[in-house]
Order: sequence, then structure tokens, then C-alpha cells
Amino acid sequence: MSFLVAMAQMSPRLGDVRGNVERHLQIIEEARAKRADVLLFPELSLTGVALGDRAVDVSLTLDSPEFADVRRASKELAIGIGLIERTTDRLLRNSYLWLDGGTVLQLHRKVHLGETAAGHEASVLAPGRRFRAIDTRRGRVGILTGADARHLTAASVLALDGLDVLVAPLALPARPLEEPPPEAGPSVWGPAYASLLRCYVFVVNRVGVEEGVCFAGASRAYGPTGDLLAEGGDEGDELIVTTLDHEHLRRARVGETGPRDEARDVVLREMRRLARER
Amino acid sequence: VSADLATVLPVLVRHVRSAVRGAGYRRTVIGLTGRIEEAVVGALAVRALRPEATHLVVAPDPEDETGALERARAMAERLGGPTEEIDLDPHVDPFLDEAPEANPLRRYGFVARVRTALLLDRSAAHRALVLGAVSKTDRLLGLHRIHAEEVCAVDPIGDLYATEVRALAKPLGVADLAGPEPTIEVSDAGVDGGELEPNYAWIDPLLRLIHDGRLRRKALVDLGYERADVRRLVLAIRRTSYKRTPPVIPVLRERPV
Repeated sequence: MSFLVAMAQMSPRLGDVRGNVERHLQIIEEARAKRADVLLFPELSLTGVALGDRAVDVSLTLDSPEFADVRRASKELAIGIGLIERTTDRLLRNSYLWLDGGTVLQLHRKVHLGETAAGHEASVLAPGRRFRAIDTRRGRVGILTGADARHLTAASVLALDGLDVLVAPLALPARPLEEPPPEAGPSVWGPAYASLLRCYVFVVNRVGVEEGVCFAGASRAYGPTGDLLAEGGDEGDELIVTTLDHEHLRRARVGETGPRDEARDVVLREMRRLARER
Repeated sequence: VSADLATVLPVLVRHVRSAVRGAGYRRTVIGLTGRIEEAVVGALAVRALRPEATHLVVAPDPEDETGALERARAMAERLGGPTEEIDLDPHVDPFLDEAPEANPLRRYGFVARVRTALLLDRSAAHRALVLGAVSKTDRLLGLHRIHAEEVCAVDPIGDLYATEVRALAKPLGVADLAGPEPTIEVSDAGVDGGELEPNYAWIDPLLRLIHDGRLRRKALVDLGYERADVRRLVLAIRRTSYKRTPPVIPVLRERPV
């Protein structure tokens, strides 16, 4: 069983939900023309990142009519999108939705909030409280948004939950003169997660500029042996298409140590001890 | 130019284009006073938009004796944008008549702020955004005048050290327009000794270690730097922080502006 996965490296317009929905629908059309089964957008793809107080104005609920057309399009291909979610507890969250069969099948609320050009996300957003992998028609999917993906523990929890496909939607800035180079980024943890957790990793980063921050692009897909399958450039909109092959997952898991060999009882006992003692 | 440095050129061009258009403008204004930083920013602006959309205002210090006027004119010619030359003397003279005792520091402060006022006026006249040209070195050491060179909507070189700006002048084709290397006046802040040389080539590497590297004093001394030099730069950064921050407002409520 294999599927075509498309990563939409694009540049959302800050605060323009209507315009971004239009852009999503265009890209969905492009992905359909390429016969993609899955289409993944970057973090906060419907809103842009440096929102500050505007977050509330662009916030949506899971059934908001503003992106009904995008939900409807997911009857034909699974679609990952990012938005500011107005949750039932009257708080705002940075949420990433896996749309499938016309509805929200899976949802990750960003746990580790980060810094944007408009200040720290935590000043307006509430953190999510869980990491879950869930079954979809394309495999068991887990999502780690932005800084969540830099936490080994988060990826480990998903792996123990039976992860086949790790989706990491990002809004990662380019810092071309940073020293040492910010390469402790996706090019390091992407293949490391893929090979250690024996799963596919899709790193979908945005491009474009917001308030003095230029986003780095370079979206990447890794196969379950850590092999780089596809890579985007560092600027400009791009639709990057690659294959997700369940047979490759099976082969990668046969001979190698991975999550299947995890000594879960030991891990859980140690986690409980840490919760008690530290 | 190091390979890394060359990669920032397209990034800076994108930043300028996106910041100007994002603010709803299509044009920029750049003041030319003969500093190489201005030529670099001008070259970025020309690449980001068009030469015709880059308004150049030649307005160096009338008392300058280092050839600033000729350099500024040469920059304007090289960049190719619509150019206006402003003689600042008629604007400054009334001030000097009124304050004949003004020392060079006060006189030049007035010149710089009059120039800024005129740039902002041209900004309104041409519906164009003012671009700044102050390097990270100058900002960190507070070498710029507050409400003068730093007044702008976008400063494309604000995160580049002075030596990096000079290195970028070459691929941008304006390196030959640089004037004599300025002498950098870092206050000795009451610190004795040290071997600090008043030029960017000496200061930038140490400044980078202090600011970007967040190295502590002991680590810098272990690297071979004089304790007095380190202290002098650290104090210069600290004492000029008011130039880099919004005005201090006493906080009286949960949410100030």
C-alpha cells in the first residue's frame, strides 16, 4: 500500500484568513492534479504567525464556515492545516488539523509555545496538553507543531503510541548568520526520528517574510530508515511530492530495533518515579 | 565575502521588498551623507524595488572635510534613483545664530536631526518609506544619534556588524565608494589600560563574542582579550541601551502600551 504525500511549502498572509483559504484551495487543486493522497500545509497556514493580539480576531472553531471548503475538499485527499483554534474553554490554541473524509479526524494543539516577531505565543495562546497518534486511512499519524518537534519526549510518546507518520508543521525562521549554524534543526532531528522511531517524517516549513522574520523553507520528507526522500528550496512556494510506502515501513521494522522493542514497563515505571521524585 | 555572508543578500532583498510592500508602499527614501552603509542599503533597495522607486537625498554635513559630498553624489549616480541634493546650511544657520556657543557635538546633532526631518518630509512628499543604514556595531555601541540616523521604517543592515556591511559592499558593486575608515569613539568609561583599537576590524570580533556569543568576561580573557577592553565594550553597550529601547514608561496597570 503506498500513497502520494504532497507538502505545500507556502507563505500565508498574516491575518488574512479569507485570502489564505483561497490560496489553500488553489494548492489543493494543484495537489489533486498530481494525484496526491495527502496534502500537508505548514504551521498556522490559515493565519500566519506573528499575530499577537490579532490571534483572537482570526481564531476559528473546528466547524467554522470560513474554511468549510477546505474541510469539504478533504473528502478526496487528507489535508493538514494550521490555525488558531477557539476552544470550548474560551481559550486560543495553535492547532494543527488532519482533515479526512470531510471532517476533522485528528487534531494536535501545540504544547511547547514559542517566540514570534509579535512576542511569545504564550502571552495570547494556551498550550495543548496531549500527544496522540491516531489511525487514518494512510497509517497511524502523529503531529508535532513547531517547537514540539524539538522535544525527544514528545516524539517518543508518539512512537510508543504506534506512530507510522510523524507530521511536523513548522514556521521556522532563517537565521543565515547565526553561529553555530541553526542546523540542530529539522535536518538533524528529522532523520534521527525517522530512523530511530522507524517512521516517516514530514517536516513542512513555510516561506515568506513577516515583520523582519524570513522563514527558512527547506521542507523535507524522510523515510523510516532516515533516508531523505524529498526536499524543498529555501524560498518561494513549492509543492513537494513524495511517496509513503507501507511496505518500506514493514521492511524497516523487520530487522531493526525500534519502538516495538521498547521496554515499556521500564519506561513507565521510570516516568512514574520521575513524576513522584522530581 | 564569506560564503555565509553572501547568502544573506537575497534574504535582505526579500526583507526590504516585503517590508515596504507590506506597509502599503512602493517607494523608499534614503539619505546619502557619504557613509558606505548608505550605499549598501541603497543597492539593496534598488534590487528589492526599482531604481526609479528609490529616492536619494544627498545631504552630507556641510562642514565635512573628508569628501562626503563627492562620495554621496557618486553613490546617487551609481544607484541611479531620482536624486535631490539638499544644502543643510540654510536650515542650520538660524540655529547657529541663536546658539553661537554650540560646540561641534551640538552643531552636528542639530545637522543630523534637521536631515532626518527633511527625509521624513520627503517620505510624505513621495509616499515613500525611509530606509535606515545603521550597522549592528554602531547600534550596540550607541554610536548613532538618537532620533537621527536611526529614524526609519526599515533598517536592512541592522543585524550586520560594520565589517560585514563593508564586505557586502563588494558584491553589491559599491565598495569603491567607501570613504576613509571612521575612528570609532568608544568612551573609556573610566577604565584604564587595554589595547582597544578604534576601528571596526578590531572591535567587531570582540563585540560579536560579547553580544551574539554571550561569552562571560572570564571566557573572553581566556581567549586573550584584555580585561579592560572587554569591560569598556560591555559598559558602552549598557550605557547606551536607552538609545535602542522605547521610552521608559512607569508601569501602573496590568497592561501598559
